[in-house]
Amino acid sequence: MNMEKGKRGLMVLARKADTAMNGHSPDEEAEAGMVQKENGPKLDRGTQSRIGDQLRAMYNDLMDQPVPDKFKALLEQLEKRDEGERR
Amino acid sequence: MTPEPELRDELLAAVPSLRAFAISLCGQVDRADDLVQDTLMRALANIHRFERGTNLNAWLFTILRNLFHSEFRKRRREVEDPDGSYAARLKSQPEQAAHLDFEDFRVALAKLPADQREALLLVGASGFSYEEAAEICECAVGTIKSRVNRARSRLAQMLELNEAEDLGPDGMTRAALQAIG
Repeated sequence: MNMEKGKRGLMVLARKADTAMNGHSPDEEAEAGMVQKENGPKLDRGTQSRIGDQLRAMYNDLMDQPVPDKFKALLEQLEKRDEGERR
Repeated sequence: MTPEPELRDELLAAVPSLRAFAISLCGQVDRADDLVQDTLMRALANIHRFERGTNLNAWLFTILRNLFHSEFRKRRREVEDPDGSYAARLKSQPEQAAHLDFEDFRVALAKLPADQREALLLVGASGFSYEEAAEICECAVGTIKSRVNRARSRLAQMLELNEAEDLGPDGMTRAALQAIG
């Protein structure tokens, strides 16, 4: 089982999400500005980061839930079935 | 087709983020779990098409998203919830919801159009770049950016998070004060 690796991967994802929500590169800012008219008023940084925080808090809470056993069972079952088929 | 053990572990390791995405996307845990299960089945059936060394998560999210849209197309009105009936049901059936801590946020998220919701979830929570999100949603990068911006603006309105809602004198003064302070 490789849960440690999985966990690290998730942390990397969470950090990437941080950057995506809060730290836009200049050209992204410019592009976002171009579509601003149809998107309504530009959000200030504080608002953007509050939304980002809430979104990630909700999401991390979901990510921390234990994986239902049925998914482990499903993957194991398929493996066994395939082994059976090959014989 | 049997995935090698490492790939199986990677699939299993991807389940928490697939579930988080699916639950946030469709708003119901049991439906989300069905989606994740179908995604894993589809992935295993097509595992020979997955290019080793490329982003497994992005591939899985693409499958899940496609399943979500084909499965829920008939129920699109319900999913996009223009009259708030889904949000109301969420409120009246808290046991259906994953957790109560983020109730307001989840209800607001559920009121977003599905395309905005998925763009925000992919970029803002799942850790994909705008480019990856565009590939997953099969649209232009600019479209993703626009959807994310609109999603944020609407959430800010619904949750009344927006302090400087317009660039009127007050907003300008506050922004200036913030810049100084």
